[in-house]
Amino acid sequence: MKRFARLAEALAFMPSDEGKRRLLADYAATVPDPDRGWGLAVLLGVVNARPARPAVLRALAARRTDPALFALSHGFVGDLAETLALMWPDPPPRANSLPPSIAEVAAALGTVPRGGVEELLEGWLDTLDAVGRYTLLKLAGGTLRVDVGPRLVMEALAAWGGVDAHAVEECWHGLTPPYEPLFAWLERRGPRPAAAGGAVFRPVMPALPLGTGEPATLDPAAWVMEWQWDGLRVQLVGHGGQRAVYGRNGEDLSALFPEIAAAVTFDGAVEGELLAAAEEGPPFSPLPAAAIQPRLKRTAKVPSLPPVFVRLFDMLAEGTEDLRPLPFAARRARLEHWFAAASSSPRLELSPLLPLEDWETARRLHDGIAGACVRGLILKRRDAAYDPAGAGGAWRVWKRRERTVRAVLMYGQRGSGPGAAAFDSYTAGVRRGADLLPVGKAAAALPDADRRDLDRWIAANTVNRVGPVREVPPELVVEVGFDAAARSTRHKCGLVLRAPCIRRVCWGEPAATADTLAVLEAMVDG
Amino acid sequence: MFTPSVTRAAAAGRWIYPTPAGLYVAPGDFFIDPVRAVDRAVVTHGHSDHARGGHAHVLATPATLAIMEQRLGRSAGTVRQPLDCGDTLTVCGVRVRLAPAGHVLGSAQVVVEHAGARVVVSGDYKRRPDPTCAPFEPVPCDVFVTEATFALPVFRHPPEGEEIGRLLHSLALFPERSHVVSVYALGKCQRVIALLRAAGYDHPIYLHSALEPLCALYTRFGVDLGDLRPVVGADAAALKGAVVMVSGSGGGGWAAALSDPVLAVASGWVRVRQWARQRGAELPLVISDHADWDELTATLAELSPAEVWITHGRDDALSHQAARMGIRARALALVGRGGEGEEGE
Ligand SMILES: [Zn+2]
Ligand SMILES: [Zn+2]
Repeated sequence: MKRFARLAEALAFMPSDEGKRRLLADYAATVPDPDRGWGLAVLLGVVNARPARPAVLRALAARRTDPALFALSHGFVGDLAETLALMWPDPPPRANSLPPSIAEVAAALGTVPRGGVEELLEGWLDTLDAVGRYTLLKLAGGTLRVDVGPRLVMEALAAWGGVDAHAVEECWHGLTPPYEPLFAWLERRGPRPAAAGGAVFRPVMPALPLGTGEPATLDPAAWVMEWQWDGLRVQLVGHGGQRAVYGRNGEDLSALFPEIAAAVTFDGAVEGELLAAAEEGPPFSPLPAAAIQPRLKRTAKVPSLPPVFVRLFDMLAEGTEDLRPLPFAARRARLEHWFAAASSSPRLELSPLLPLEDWETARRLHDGIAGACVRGLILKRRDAAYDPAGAGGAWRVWKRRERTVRAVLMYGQRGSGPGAAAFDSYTAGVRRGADLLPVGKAAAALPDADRRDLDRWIAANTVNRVGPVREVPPELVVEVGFDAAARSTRHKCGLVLRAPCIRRVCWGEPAATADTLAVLEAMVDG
Repeated sequence: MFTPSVTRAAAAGRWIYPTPAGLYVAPGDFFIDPVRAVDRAVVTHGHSDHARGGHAHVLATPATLAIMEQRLGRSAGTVRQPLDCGDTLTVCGVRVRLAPAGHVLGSAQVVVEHAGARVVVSGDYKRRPDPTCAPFEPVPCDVFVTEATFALPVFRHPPEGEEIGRLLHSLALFPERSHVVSVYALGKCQRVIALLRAAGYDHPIYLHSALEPLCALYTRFGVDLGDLRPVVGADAAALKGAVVMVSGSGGGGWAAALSDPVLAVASGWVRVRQWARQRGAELPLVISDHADWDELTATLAELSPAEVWITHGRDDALSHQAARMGIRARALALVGRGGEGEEGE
């Protein structure tokens, strides 16, 4: 458990995928079976445990800590599990009981009855250091977040074992934790495990960004065009009665979207964008991707979840026939044919192809994208096979133009807890005569260093503070990006921005050059 | 054998007390770690929140005076009087002695005795061994004046050997990446270097220019830091997989020369993940020159003073803990120490 905790900690702080792969390979190379397999399974969320509720953590805190000191500490740290992990006494230098292995933890958490969790955790906590305790409590609470997907793990293992990542992927889905035959193969001690049968995930084909001047250089006759929906890219796979919904990194989402899994009544694999809808359909009218978040985070109760549906755009297999080597145009024809003949679920729709005769018309379509449910356009080369490596850029994203306004920073608002050194949201205003009219609270979408500079500037220039709000002199211009602007009577400026965020800080640009309200009004949709 | 006395502690409050300029010893007419320029100052150690410039007379250990001279130049004090740890001086009926605090090179506690009462002003301190300075000496007293920088039970600094071990492990795992270690210029920098040396790391260590003078000063005072080189002008190939010490968050034009550096942040604060993230740390190293919660409470238990006065930091939690231990606590709330959330080291 100690080694696993160190891995989870290092992964959580590692910004680059390459670094993560290196850490995972080091873990596989230095930890014996069955711990390494269970460790990876736990990271990938394959191990199912009923999450311990916060009440369990509170009860443990009450048992072993002073309530006043716990309250002060919790106020400072902010996170319940972290506070408890940090406050819990360290084991004595030569303790009698050893920390549990990750294999032991994974097995016990999966089987312990609800009433026994507290005691189990208490015994383990007494054997672990702070990092171990933190990892254990997060794991038990079902909130261990390390941002590592199956794809990354497979790439790390492949690089370590000196084999092709797709070869690992092919047998991965046929194996269960602790994956001992896989490690034996990668260490040249055993045969290559058989490729998995069943409802397996197929690595997805990426779409590369399209450059600004690029459309003009492409031949419209060679490409097709679709909307890029603002949802979740999914792969629906059925095989001999097995059915699965996979995310773009191979994460199994079937349990999160059971109604979509139930729609997989076929053998084969299709791909599409999963969207939330305002109301049960059909017809379904899509909501922005944010509406799916409560489902993914499992934060909302099922009855209050928005309905979901899928707009299909590709077909990778029909029956046992692999369609991936076929050109896109042929796969699309198979998809349409299959859809008309065999798809029976109202939750599955076809994503329409858009007319693409010349780039002038296409650009007008692109310029006119409004509303938050479309992220842009996707261009696909008619003759391209389905290629997970994405070589040659046969799929391209033409992102919708972002709307921005240059506004003057007025306030910063602090978060709570230890993050209190940073600001949560920022308020900026546009000019009307000599006045500044706030355009709503914006989040920051800045590189870390720029964000720190901005926060430091606010801290150093605060002229007034009300609770968590810091007022600054109207001197700093920031670029506020947003999805859409709409009229509103509840806002002083008469407008409300959707998803506003600070894109850039315009250091040294005088406040008088900021945009006026009239500029923003011209961007109102409809 | 010294037995702390509640009566003497209560009486001490009439001749040593906080003022806007800092903690004042009335019969001796001097301040300890004043935050404003005063006529006579006793300074516990060289950190800038304790050692301010512009005093007329300064009394401190020779190492602290040297640090002040280097940092403050001509405003380090008109008359500078060295006092070695262990030596005693009498000023207008007040006996003053310095005792090692174990915080940074030259750091000392000020032991003040007057009218039979003994007050120990500990400045900043820690209790664990540090190869770069003399260990904390517990001095029994009526009143113990303590810091409370890390006075929350969530702050328990792990063994420093383990943290250095994580840095060495990362160097082994990413041999092509420079490891930039962000440290406080005085104390932390030299301690991290000394810990690396003690762990057997004998490659050159590269220094940002702001760190060079203090490292040289430590070497002059007999602390061996091994092969140190300036990072500015260093060969890009030599910096691959090398340890580079920087003060603060790093940055600066020279940092661009490093390809894909690992940013390690050595601070007691990074024990809380949110802090580590805010500093952009990829490798948080929980290494601090301040007493952690266990050291603070163990020191109170060991000394069992009649009263504990708390200068700066989390006086709420430490007061509560002192009360649980039967020790009367008083928060002095001295101004000018630490900042909003970002405590000086
Ligand atoms: Zn201090
Ligand atoms: Zn200090």
